[in-house]
Amino acid sequence: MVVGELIALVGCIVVMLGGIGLVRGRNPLARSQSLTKAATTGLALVLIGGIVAIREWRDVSSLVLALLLQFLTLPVSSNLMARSMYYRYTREPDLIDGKDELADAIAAGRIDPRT
Amino acid sequence: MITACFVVLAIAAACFTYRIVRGPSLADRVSGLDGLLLVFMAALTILAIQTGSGAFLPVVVVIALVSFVSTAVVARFIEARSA
Repeated sequence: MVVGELIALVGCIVVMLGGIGLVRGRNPLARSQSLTKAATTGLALVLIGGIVAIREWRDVSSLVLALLLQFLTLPVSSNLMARSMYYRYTREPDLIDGKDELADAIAAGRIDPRT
Repeated sequence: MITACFVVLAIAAACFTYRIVRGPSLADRVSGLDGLLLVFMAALTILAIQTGSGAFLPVVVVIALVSFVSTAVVARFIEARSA
């Protein structure tokens, strides 16, 4: 199945781009941003390539389960990670450049930082 | 095509390992570890495509679960340490 292998290759290239972004990012938030995009898109492409290439019910069920789990859990874990990075590292200088809108929102009382 | 997939994944694994070793903060190391688990999942799937047998595909599901739990726990740890 050449089509499935091609889709999987595109997914691997997306994962590699995420790795390059993780090396070249300037601060922890920028690095985790590139990793998150790569994890969702790249692994989804690889798993869909596997579904297209294998086409056997027993294996496709595992792949679909992994795809669903990844889509359900990865936004949650990356959101938790970005939150902890924000509270831990933004007080050091020159980590987030430009305007800090979340700090303004917390100062205005629109967001409770401990929930 | 399968070989190209593995080569590209090896480059990605080298990038993630660099970030684990060099990472200035704990959060960077956790991100690198998350990326390495991602590479493992992709490599297992491509191995299943190559061999045509999905004997290791449940491992992909387990790695997805473990990666989520470990990342969430370490995120809470970093946040609690900063408070």
